[in-house]
Amino acid sequence: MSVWADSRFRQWAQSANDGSAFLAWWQRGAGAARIFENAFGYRFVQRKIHFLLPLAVAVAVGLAVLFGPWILLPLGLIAAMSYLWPRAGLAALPAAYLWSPEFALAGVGNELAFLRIDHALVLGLLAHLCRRAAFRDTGLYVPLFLFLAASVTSALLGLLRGYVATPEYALMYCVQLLYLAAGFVCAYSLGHRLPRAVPYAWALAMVAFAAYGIAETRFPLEVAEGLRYRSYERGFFDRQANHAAYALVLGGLTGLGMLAHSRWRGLGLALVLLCLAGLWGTGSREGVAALAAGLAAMLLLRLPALLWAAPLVFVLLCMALPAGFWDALLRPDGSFFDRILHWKAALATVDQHPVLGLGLGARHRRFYDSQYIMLLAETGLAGLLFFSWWVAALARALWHGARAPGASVFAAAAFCALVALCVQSLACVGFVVTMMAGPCYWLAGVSLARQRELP
Amino acid sequence: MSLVDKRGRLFGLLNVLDLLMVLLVALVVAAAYVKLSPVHRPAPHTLLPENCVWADVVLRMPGEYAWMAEITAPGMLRRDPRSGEVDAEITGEQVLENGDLAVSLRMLAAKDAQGRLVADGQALLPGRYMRIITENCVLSGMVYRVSLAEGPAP
Repeated sequence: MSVWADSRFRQWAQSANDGSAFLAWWQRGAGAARIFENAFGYRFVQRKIHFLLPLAVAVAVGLAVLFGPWILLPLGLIAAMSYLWPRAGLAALPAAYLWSPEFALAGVGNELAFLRIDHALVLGLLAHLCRRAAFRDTGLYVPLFLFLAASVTSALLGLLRGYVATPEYALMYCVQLLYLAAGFVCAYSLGHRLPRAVPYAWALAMVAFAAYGIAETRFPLEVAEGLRYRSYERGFFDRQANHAAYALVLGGLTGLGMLAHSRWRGLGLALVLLCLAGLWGTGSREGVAALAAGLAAMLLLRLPALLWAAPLVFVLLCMALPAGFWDALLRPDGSFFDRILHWKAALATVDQHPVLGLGLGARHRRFYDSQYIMLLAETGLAGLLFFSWWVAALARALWHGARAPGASVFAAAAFCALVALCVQSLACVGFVVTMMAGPCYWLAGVSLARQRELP
Repeated sequence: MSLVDKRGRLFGLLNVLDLLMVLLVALVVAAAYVKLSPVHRPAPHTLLPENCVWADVVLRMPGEYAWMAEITAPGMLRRDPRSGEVDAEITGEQVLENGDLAVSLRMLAAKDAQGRLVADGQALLPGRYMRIITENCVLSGMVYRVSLAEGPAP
């Protein structure tokens, strides 16, 4: 007798969800929408390929005015490398994402205008894809582009209404969302060309990143009396401990996935050990929550029957936590208490403009410290719904990809990484931060590209 | 009809990628228009005396600016360059537990048509980036708290 299979709860859950529209959508394959090949703008550039040259000159002049003419040399060299050798460019991208705050060509990551090595790499990859007409279409672009369109529309309306007082913020957030999406498009379009290089490119970047954190924990840059030192907070990284924690969780999850393949077992074990040691040094509660979510997702992939029980287990776990946990979390002088105050203030503005919000860029992202609250307040219900659709569609594709026979070595980790990012984004703006969303999208794009076709 | 068809067209009318590009160009044009317009264009009403009030603002600066605590001091002033009148004054400062520096200011603001407090041509909303140039130092940070100050209006 199987306690689980014969339980009334499971039978009730299955019968209740048999007619669920979401379940039917989840089990159906992604529709093929040929967005790139039917876009007027893309076809125009393809027909008039020389149009790229004046476009490139315009971009170069703009960047030279913004950052100074010397910027064109490193930018041009890196972009040209990425354009001519797209495999090298794509393989270098994870390391560039992880070290992005410091690999700045101009400005630093926390300034309004900045240019980094990862920008140059993606620029070169986009130019290559455009020149070779090598964009691969997928149904996933529908929710992604609708979300981006809603975000840009909200920023536009916010500027015109006066809620977005600093136009640079609106542009910066829109460009950042577009840039991260471009990283996914590049990885999806080119990832199938990196069959063997993917694990090495990923693992080497992660090992170097974790090793830095371990070294910094062992030999702190500053020693604060009476306080626990957190790595990735000073020196090379400016207050990035929580962001770095997610990247290390990502590394640990991919290491766990690699342990299942005999060829990559050693590298996977090294990744798991180093990334967990690095994660400990960050002292990040968000990171631990993300790791727990990622491990739970991995368990669900192995035992999908547990999916029905997941909400119940989550509620039971929350109830089982000692009261002291919640007291410590909600201490009035703690950062979580500040977050709750900010969330209440942000949600108070939602009813003024519920459809498209105040406009992307109305406030600094640090005000929210929650991806979902930020989207609801600044891009409204439209932005949040399209974003949820995009994340759900990506999760669905990764879920099917991870369970398909002959799945890539990172397929399971990509799904778990997305779940972990969704959970950590409850308390930070993870889908906007390069160090978090960049590697996650890269992993998702490369993993999906390895499937012969989307399920 | 589905929202987006097989050719990627929204309601069968316009390709989603084209729509995105059009919106992006419109955003850049709007941002350039707002940026290149006169600085105080959106807030001429802030100058009307009947709308002016004193506001207590707490500006929160990241931990790397904590050294500013040695420089800032209550009583430091900012003056309106046109009239020479004081329009902002530092009233206090505090280093928070996480290392951030919170600087309290009393500054001249105005209520706009929606009743929001406006200063320096922008609404005083928590989370907004603000830069205050006093006679002694430059404060750059995010608005943390805003409230109407007690006492007579200017």
